[in-house]
Amino acid sequence: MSSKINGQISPQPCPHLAEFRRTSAKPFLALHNCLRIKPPGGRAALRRDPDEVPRCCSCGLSAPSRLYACVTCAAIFCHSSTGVGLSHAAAHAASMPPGHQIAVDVDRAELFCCACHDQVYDRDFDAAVVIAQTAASTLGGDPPPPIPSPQPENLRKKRRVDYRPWAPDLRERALIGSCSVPIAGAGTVADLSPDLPRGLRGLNNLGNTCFMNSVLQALLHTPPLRNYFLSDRHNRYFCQKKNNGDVDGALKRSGGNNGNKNARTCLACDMDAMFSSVFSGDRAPYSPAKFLYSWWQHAANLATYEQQDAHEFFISMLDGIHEKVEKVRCKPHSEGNGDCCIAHKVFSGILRSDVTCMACGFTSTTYDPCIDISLDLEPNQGGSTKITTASSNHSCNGEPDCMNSSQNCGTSTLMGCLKRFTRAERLGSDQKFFCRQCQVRQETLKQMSIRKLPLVSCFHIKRFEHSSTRKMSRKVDRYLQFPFSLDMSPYLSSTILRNRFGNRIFPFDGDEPDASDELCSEFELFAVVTHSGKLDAGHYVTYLRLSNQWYKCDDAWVTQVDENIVRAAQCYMMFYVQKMLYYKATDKQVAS
Amino acid sequence: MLVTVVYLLSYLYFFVLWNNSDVNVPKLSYFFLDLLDSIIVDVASECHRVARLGLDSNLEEEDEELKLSAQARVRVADPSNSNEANGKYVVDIFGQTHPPVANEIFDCLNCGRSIMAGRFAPHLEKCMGKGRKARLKVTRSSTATQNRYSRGGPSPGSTHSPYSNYSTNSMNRLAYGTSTFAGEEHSNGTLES
Repeated sequence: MSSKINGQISPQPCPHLAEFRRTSAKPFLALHNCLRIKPPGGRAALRRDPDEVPRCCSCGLSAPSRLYACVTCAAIFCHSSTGVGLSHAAAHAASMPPGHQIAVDVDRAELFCCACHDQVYDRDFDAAVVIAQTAASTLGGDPPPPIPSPQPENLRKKRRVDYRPWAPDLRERALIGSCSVPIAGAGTVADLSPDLPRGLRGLNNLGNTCFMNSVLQALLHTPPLRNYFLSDRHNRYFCQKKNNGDVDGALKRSGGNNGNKNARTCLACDMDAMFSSVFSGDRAPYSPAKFLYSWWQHAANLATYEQQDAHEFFISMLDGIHEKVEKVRCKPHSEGNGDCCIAHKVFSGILRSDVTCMACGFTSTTYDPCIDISLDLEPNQGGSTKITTASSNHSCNGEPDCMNSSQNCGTSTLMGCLKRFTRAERLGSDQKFFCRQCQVRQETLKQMSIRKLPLVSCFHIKRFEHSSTRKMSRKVDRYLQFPFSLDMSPYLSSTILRNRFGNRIFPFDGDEPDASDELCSEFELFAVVTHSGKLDAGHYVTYLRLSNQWYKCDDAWVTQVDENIVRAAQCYMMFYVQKMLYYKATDKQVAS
Repeated sequence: MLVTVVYLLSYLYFFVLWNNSDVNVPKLSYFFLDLLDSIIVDVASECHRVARLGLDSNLEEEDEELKLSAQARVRVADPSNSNEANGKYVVDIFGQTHPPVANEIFDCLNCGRSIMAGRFAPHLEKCMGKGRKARLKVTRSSTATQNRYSRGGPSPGSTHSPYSNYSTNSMNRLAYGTSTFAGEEHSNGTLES
């Protein structure tokens, strides 16, 4: 049967194609020189010479819409018939000895079986077409990167470790007994609400700090981050002890009090302290005063009593964890490779940006790390006021269909925003790029895609609108629909590139040879940060999904809410975790 | 795909319009049918490939999610449903009630003075010598923007901005009332000299 590779079905070849592949050693080698790409980045076509006008061998006409070239003898026949029954291509397949059934559609470069009267698909043929398209777009420019040859044996190699159940042996059991402390047993801290999930605890508002409380509530229940801190991967006692050693050396050199204070600040240690307090079983609201003090020392520009932006706090906090962990490890500052600290291990993904010259088709690619994705709301369709976002002013979109990307006309969806984010965007005439192949500035197409998905995807909705005519700003209060389960595979680099090359069977950039990578693009929503109010004053609230039950964390108040309230909420930041890291509700009340 | 069909139909329209000057009606209808057949085969070929390779997206799941969201909005907007009672000043799931301003007492980490939790942030602002009194607003906005660009930004060799929908930090801001500087647009380096 057909096996699924990279979300693509490898269809069972028809018996004629299988027979043809068995008899020929390299079946499509001769076609490499005949594949022509229509200008620039267009469809592939089959021509012996660039100026050849193909004609049917039977009737001699060149106008018919479907011409098929036999892959064995290179004779061209059309699809029309002389009224008797079989078309010319089918008649050719029937009259010749076996091996002439497979033909290529001359204008579309598609394999066709004349006996089955159906399009058939072959991996090697598609690879030849993609290689020809890639060579056409990089002709004269940089030498094309070596395209990996698709070998069927490599498709079964796995890059991740298989799951093996683990039970502690005698030595590990002794280690557990001596070096670990139970979180809360029957005799320790009195848990007043044993049936509610562990880790649910209100956070006191210290004075306009609902932006901090909302993001902290989401991060406290991010599965990879929670597992990291609760399993003591960053122990604040060891970190402080190590830092004190560094401080002694610094004190001898400078002797400054301020340096002494700042050297002991570690946001990861304060996160560890917060995790210990929140998951201790005590349900009284917790005051994150130590964390606020440390964060204000790290981000001095945001240390103010005014209301802050939750997304800005999120970026700043992860930045602080990254910097402190980097200093502690004394490693070279490697920016954004996703392996430096827990913040980047969890949230870091890679964005791919393609800029294509519209004259010659030359494509330049850049990769950049990102720890969240900021999405524009779609332009208002039903509103009478025509206000566009600031970034939309920079794109001259000549595609009227792209505005109608959501199923319900007028309703913005997260998937519509992601489609808009990964859509090919034509840069304006004032933003011409220098094409290395044309050697002049040309109009270009720019397209974003996700090269590597993070373990936790954070989507930030830009609810800020700036009208350049009126010189004022206001908040966008429009509803955005977001799913509880999200499939990110349409926005991956492999999918975007596959669509650009006509959905050919080929391992594009980011296509992993592992079949289980299909699970990595499925995400589950576990936290939503919502905002109500105006641009300069408002309130943040976080909704948490624990054991498939939604809880509303409004500073110190934690209440249980219905799923419909979350679906109808005005989302500002959404946190999705990969499905394999998400714990569903089970019969046992597992604290997830 | 729909764009392709619309584009080809427009091309077909102009083709017919241009050929209409001739009186050769049989030749005109011949080319018309041929071009129409070509358009249909183009779309059919693309749809066939998508269907056979299993590349069509989960449209049913999307519709299901949209339906659930529409139902949720209708249900929440209905005042007869008592979904949540005000939100604040009620008993939470742990059976606790909380005052409007948090009244937990702890020592300030900077000066060691006892302070109430709900008033810790304004106290710490003065205690650390930061905030609106100590600093100008323009310094804060420009420092925030500068801080963001210096971290993990595109390398100087890259010829374009990584984010096509990227806007400056001041434009991402919410619940921050500096409308004077919100209109600032910093160059992303998208243009190359």
